[in-house]
Amino acid sequence: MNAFTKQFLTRRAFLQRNSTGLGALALASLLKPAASAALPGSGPVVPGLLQRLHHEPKAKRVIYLFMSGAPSHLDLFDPKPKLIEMTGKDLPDSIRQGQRITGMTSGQKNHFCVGSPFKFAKHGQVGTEFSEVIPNIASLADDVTLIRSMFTEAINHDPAVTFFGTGHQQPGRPTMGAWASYGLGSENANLPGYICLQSGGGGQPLQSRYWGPGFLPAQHGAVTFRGAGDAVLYLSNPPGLSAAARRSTIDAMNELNRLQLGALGDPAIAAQIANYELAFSMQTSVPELMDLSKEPDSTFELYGAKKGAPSFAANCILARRLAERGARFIQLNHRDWDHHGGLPGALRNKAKEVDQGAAALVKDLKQRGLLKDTIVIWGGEFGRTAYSQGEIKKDSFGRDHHPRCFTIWAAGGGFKPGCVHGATDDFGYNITHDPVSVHDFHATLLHLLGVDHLKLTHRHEGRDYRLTDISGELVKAIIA
Amino acid sequence: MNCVSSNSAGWPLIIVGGFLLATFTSHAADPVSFSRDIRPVMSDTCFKCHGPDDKTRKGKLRLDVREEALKAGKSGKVALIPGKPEKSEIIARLFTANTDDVMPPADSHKTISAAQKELFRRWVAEGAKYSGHWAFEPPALPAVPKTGGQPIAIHNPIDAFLAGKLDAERLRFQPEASREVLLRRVTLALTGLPPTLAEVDALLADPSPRAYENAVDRLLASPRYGERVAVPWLDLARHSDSAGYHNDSLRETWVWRDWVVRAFNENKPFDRFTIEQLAGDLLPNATVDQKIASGFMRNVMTSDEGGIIDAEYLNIYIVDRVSTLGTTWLGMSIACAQCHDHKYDPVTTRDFYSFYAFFHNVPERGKDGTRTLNPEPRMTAPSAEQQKELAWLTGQIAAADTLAKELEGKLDAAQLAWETKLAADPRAREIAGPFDHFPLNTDANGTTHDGKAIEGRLSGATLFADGAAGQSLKLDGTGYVDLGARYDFDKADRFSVGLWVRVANKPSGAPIGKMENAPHFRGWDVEFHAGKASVHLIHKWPEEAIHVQTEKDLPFDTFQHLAFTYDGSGKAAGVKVFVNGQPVATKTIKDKLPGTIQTSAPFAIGRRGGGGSPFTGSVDELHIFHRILSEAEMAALASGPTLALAAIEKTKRTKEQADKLRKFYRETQAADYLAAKKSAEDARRVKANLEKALPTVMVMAEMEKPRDTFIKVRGAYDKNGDKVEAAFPGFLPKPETLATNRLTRLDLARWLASPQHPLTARVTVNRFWAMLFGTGLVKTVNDFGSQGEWPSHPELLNWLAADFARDWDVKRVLKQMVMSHAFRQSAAVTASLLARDTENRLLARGPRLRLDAEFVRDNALAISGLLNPRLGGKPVYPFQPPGIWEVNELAGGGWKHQRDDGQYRRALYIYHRRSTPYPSLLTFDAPNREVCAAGRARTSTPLQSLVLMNDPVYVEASRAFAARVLKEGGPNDATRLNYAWRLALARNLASGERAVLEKTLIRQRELFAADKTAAETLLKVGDFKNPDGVNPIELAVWTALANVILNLNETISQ
Repeated sequence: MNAFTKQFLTRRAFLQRNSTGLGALALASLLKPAASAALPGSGPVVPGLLQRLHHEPKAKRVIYLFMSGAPSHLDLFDPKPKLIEMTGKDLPDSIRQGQRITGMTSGQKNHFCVGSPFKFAKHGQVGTEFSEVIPNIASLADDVTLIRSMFTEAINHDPAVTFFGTGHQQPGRPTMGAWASYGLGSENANLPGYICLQSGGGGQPLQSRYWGPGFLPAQHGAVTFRGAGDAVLYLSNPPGLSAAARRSTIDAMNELNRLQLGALGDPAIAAQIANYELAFSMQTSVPELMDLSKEPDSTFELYGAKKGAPSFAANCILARRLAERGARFIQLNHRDWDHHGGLPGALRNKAKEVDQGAAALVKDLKQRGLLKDTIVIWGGEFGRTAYSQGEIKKDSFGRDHHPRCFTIWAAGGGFKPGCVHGATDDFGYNITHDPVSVHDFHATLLHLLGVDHLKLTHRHEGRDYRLTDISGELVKAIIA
Repeated sequence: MNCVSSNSAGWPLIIVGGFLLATFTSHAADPVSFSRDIRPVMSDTCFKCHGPDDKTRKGKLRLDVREEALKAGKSGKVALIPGKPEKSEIIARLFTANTDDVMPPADSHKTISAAQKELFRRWVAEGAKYSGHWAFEPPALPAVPKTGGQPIAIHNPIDAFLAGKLDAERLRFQPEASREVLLRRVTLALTGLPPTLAEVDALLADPSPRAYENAVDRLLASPRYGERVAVPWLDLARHSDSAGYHNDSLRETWVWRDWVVRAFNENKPFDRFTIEQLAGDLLPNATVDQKIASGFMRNVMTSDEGGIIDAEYLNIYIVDRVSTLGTTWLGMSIACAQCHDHKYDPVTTRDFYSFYAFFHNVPERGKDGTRTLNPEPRMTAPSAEQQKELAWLTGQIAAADTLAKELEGKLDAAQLAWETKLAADPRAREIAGPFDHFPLNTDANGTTHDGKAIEGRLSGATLFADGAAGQSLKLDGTGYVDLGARYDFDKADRFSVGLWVRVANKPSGAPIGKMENAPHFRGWDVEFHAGKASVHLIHKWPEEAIHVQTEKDLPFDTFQHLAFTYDGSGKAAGVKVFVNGQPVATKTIKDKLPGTIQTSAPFAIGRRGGGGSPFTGSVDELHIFHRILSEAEMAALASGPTLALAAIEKTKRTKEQADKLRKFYRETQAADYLAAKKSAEDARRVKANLEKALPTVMVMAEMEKPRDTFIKVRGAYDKNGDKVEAAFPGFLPKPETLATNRLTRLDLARWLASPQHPLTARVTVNRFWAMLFGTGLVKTVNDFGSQGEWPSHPELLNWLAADFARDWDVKRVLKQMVMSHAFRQSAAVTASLLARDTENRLLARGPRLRLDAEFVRDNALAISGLLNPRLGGKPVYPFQPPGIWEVNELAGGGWKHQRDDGQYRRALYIYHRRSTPYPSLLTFDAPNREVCAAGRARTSTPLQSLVLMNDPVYVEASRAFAARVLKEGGPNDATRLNYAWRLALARNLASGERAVLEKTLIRQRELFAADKTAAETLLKVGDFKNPDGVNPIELAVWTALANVILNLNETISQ
């Protein structure tokens, strides 16, 4: 046995050996409560690629509320009286400008405009207009940045979601959360840094790549916390194996691994020993996190969630709890916004599913003092068309995919409160002011996290890749 | 160059040092090498603005071509003046303190170290010589160096090359690992499975100096070898059992996967392996197998999302193929050149689209158009056995067709003979007796076959009116005929009944029946309900009865002949129903008849004898037989009027009558002819079913008229630039003789598979090296371009590549590697060596690697004895937690956990769905196979610990492992512990280890003895059946212990 391996033989000595990486991580789990995790910049407990941030960050973490299927900007955020006037009349060629449209409506003889059936009203001191179907989100008017001039390059769900998530339409690249985990590390050793929660069913399918690591190592992909069964796969001991029996097996594994480490000196063995301790502590920390039974009734009232019933609102409560515990990037996927037909009824229902929970999350973070360094993003993968897909009936019509403009909102973490950015034409079809590309948005998001989007790169197959691919401009106007 | 490891966030990982830079760059005494020392730095820091891409070039200065670099740039200054660093602008700019002038500029975020600057200065002083990028020059076979200074005698050329470097570093090989450890290492490395105890014992007992080599030969000959080496190839091929995009529906791709496994097992030379997979369909007289092989490039992800634009997706597929080709055979990404000339390597956009043109002629669509089948082009891929069966059936069909045709020619003559007989004997027009007949023309009386009268008593409203033959008995729901205690059949009796009925379109009841009323409804009847006819045979309704119903509705208000036969079997299958003389399909609604159907209720026409189910409609010509009628007889029974036509003289028949008679004869009476036709039909049906069940496989094919290919401007699918033809790229050597015609995929494949190709052999042996030693000689296994890492042992790589290209013999090359001392030495490492060579690039110790995801699972199943070794075939559904596939719902069903032993097959065979891959494999770094992937990360995370501890697959394996140890492991704890240890790790238990395990046994016994229910609960995880008579507490204790062993780092490492 040599001096090097000897150091590993007592657990404490081993854990203290390294001031970064493994040692620091495990030490943190033992010595520091998760809540006291360090600021990024002064050293997360699981370090990321970046030794130092590129500038002072405004945000430490992100909660991304992904509205899968693409909500209609025209019926929620971007009022267009002109469309009401033009309902039943063909979209002027001067507006469409030969823009490609999907195979679902390209064959339609007419592209009749259709106005929103919902009333818009001004909200907050800023007086931003919101649709009547999202009264709670509307009440955040003075807190959020509303970007009405987002645009994307894809016209179908799969490539558009992949593009918004990774900056590239084709699979293979890391998502926003994976870049955050890779670059910034994690602030809680007992929880994964990037977590994903699902709600809503039906509608467009989800792919695990939407929260995947791409070409980054697997641990940067999101861990899905599940609503049923174990929150994290395989978290619970098998039925019949008590905590005491498990502890005994882990002790045995660690002792045997330590003997092997002594004989071979392979640091992979040391890593595995630490991982068993982490797994064991996750068995406590994750159920504690997922257990909402100790949340007061007022929380459930605020979010509009029912105790014990999985929902988007319940996931919003979990997102807040994860934020409190220092998770880096939390992604909530809510499905079925793809309203090609029956939009008035379906959109109203969908809005109801998310309105209160999303708004409550922002309010709750604010009252807990967390909103200042937590970014909340709400949005889909593209917008919807000014013209109807299919016939316009008395109470029903549809809208097809529209990449040229859409609206998202963001709150907290350095986004400018009460800000409306960008504008679209009278048809909500083309952007007239301040277009924001997906890459611009990513650049801005990373900036708020203290990262220069040009400098967070990963070399893969000979090229230094970044989240913003080969473009991306900081959108200064939306930064507080 | 920055050596920050990618393994640095999220979950804790091994800390990786920056040692390599020092190892692989120049020593002060050597001349500076452009290829090794200068070009990589230029590539990283200069080429972006002064490289091959003329659109982004700055200052009109190009540095990647010497002639250009020697010219004056825009500033008028000359970048490079050979031999005169003090006059060369490049040196001035590197060393200047002026922040405006310094290169690289601050906004490039690149820096060059002082040592590197010094190398530039020396390089210019030494003449600024350029050389081509090393990987683009064909490898020459270098001489094997002679070395001293190592503790072992060197026989293997690999060791000779490695030893050279070790000597220079004053390092030494470790002694050989113990035989058990080595056998386990090589067995896992070559087969992905652990050695059996018999194999370990055989090696230990073999005194021959060839013992290890014999073991290697045995492993290479094992079918398990193909399953193991296929896995990294499937990563490159982005092979999956699903389409990939959007709803990610399932595909049938296992036939191609089996081809890969077979090709490795048969040791198909790598040049053939390459050619068949890229262009098997284009080989002259391509075999089924070669066409199957061509499916490599069909593993591309495809989409059937509504509304996608065909041209956009077709472009995506072809771009993916070019990228996959680049990574797999060229070992470099050429995807950058999709939009612009490559920034670092001499790959132009034209080169990219020239590759593109090779793959642009497949008859396929962007919107693949199917969510259930393989998209076109595809073919069926029958196994050898299925091919034999198909051939046999084809023969059967031909023979039966010939016979039927021959008999058909004789039918008119046969019909005449039949008619003559009928005309001569009126009785021959009837069915053979005995039967009872009720003509129902004017009264309800019947006759027996021998002429005895049967008296029928009419009751209620009855009327004799128009019938099928003569008049019929017309009933309005109140009238009926009581025939007393006749036809009291029992369940073992055989009988047949036929009658003409016209059914009213209303609740229409039972035209005949011998059945009592509630509660039992014992007896039998024919009943119409909602348009369908039923036959009931009832002991006790509803539990004990046969109920058979016609599948189709029968027409209302028209006469039709309804009949059935019953074979006395007591089964629903024994009831056959006929309409108008032809058998019809029926549905079995009830099929359980344990008791008698005999009843005291009378037989009646117009209702059940007991009075139930009154009938509305007409009944005519009722026949009842105490036997089963044949199909021909049934046809005849329903055709009484047709038979009468035979009595009309042939010349006097109308055409309609003649046709009717002819048709009747041919369809019902020509027994031999009908039998021949039927056997042809049967064989056709069997063949059709077999063909429907044949697996299909996606293959490559060429369109008759190739598509034109254009450079896509900035990669946009709808912006065509210059037209291009399929061609080889300018930066690599071309074949000497080029076909004058358009180049095809076959030309491309042959170019790649040429021994002169500078990349194919290098890239391939490097991947094999990485598979066995953990890291490639070129660490960047997917980048042999100028951004890639300089090889740790360039001469060794060249030697291995040139040697491989001699015969492309994969098994020989792998054997050579595992026979090296480098592979065989002990993996133990000292702190100082670890600090000097964290990644073990110098091989001053043996390779020690965590198993790849698939083999983590296979290994546990093998140790436990659960592993099902079946080779190839359809993918399987082992246990998977609920809610995985459901995130992306599939039309037509989700994950179906199979409970048979298919669930214990190797992980290679688990259904792979790209959007929702098998979770425990992902946790151990298996790629999702969306895009081509060369090499996997080897992470170590707490999620992996959770899998090994708690995934029911591993808990079940622990149970089986425990049962195996109790059964086979000898009489006591001591023997059993050692047995378990050897099963998992091949070696004997050391005393320290024994102490830990014994302590754990004591503790687990304490815990489970106090809670027997817990023990019994644990023993229910998974489908493995606990051995009879085993004490559950002991089994649970050993299950916990087995779980410990399956979780050890040593268990999941090789």
